Amino acid sequence: MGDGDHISVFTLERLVAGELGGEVGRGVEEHLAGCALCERRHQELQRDQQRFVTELPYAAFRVEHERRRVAAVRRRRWRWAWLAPAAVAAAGLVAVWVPDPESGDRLKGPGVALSMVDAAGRPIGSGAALAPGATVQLSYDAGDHGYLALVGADERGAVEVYYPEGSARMGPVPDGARGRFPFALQLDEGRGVERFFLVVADGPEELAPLVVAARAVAGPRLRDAATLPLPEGWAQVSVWLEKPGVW
Amino acid sequence: MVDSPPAADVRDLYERYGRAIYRRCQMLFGNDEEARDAFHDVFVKVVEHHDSFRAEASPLTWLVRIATNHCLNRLRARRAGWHDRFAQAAAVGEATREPEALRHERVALVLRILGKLERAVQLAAIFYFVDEMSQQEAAAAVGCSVPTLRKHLRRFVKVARGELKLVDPDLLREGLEADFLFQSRPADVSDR
Repeated sequence: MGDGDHISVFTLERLVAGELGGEVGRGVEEHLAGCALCERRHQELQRDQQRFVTELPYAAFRVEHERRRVAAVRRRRWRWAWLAPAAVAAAGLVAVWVPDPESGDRLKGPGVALSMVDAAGRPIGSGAALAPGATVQLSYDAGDHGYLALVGADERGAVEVYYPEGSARMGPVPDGARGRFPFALQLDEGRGVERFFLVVADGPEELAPLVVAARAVAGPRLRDAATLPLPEGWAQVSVWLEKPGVW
Repeated sequence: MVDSPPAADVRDLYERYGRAIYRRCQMLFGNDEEARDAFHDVFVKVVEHHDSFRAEASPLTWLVRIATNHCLNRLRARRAGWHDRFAQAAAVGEATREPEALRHERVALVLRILGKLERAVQLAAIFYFVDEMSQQEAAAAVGCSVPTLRKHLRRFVKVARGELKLVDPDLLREGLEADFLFQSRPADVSDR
């Protein structure tokens, strides 16, 4: 409480926020009952509180937060594509294959696998919960297939082709039959499941069927969508991450 | 792995303390658009660090410190034109010496000279002269001892006197500068 003739703004703020109780709270209330100036300030703060919850309600805040989150995800993904090789080098990620037969949800086709490691090279199991900002490096085993694509889908319904970049067709395996993708991903502040699909084929197949299939499963049921309905001759495997978010 | 607070807690946090955070942003930026933007960032930060928040005896102290630092960082980053923006506000209330008018003048003066002060002095001045915290409360909010807070406040008064001289030399001739700063706030300014 203020030490002078009137109660400080800070003490009044604490009163409005419900922080003052007991003897201190009673002392403040008594003062307010006998001091017109402090009571006026107190009432003004209460009116301001009402205005705040009316004009800036929590629901509106959540909407704005979601809008910013989506915008940030788009910006960040674009930057990943540009900065990925440098980011990998900066993070000191090593180009080793980390065998983790349980990392994929389901395997179709001999030898096809997808695994993840963190910035220190430690394996990340499929279904792990990671904090925003965590770095993920994906490694693949394309088996005896020469072409592949890596697609990400999230619970928000977004789908993104991470590899190959800027192409309408699958790309050649980037680092031998087993290797890592030439970029790392840094998780944004969004929440929910993000699933990565590795799809392999014997030729540079068009990506359109893959993107359409990924869009069909992106959304709230993504957690259980381990595989995509794909053309004959393609093999696939997927892994997923949980982003708890901040809400 | 992130430990997120339950949604109901976040909503309660927002509705109890959001206004105080928002008003702090509004006061320092002087316009709703920037205030809302800063408020959003601050509140997200608050939610992310809710564990520290829970440990505080007075969450409001913690919140106001985070909000004030965040706004000052943004203002510093863009090298705000402190003087131009607050010159007009500094003139408000000069015609009267009613307690509320004096408080507005004092707040306007603090805002006017913030850009000339070091961060610790900025925080001390805001907590003490704007929020009217006691010296103990302000010292806790700044994160320093009471003697150090007094040193910061003395530094603030020195700079403020120089500014007042520019705004209205008559104030100094009449010996009113101390009143201008200290009236209408709790009277524990032992370093006057």
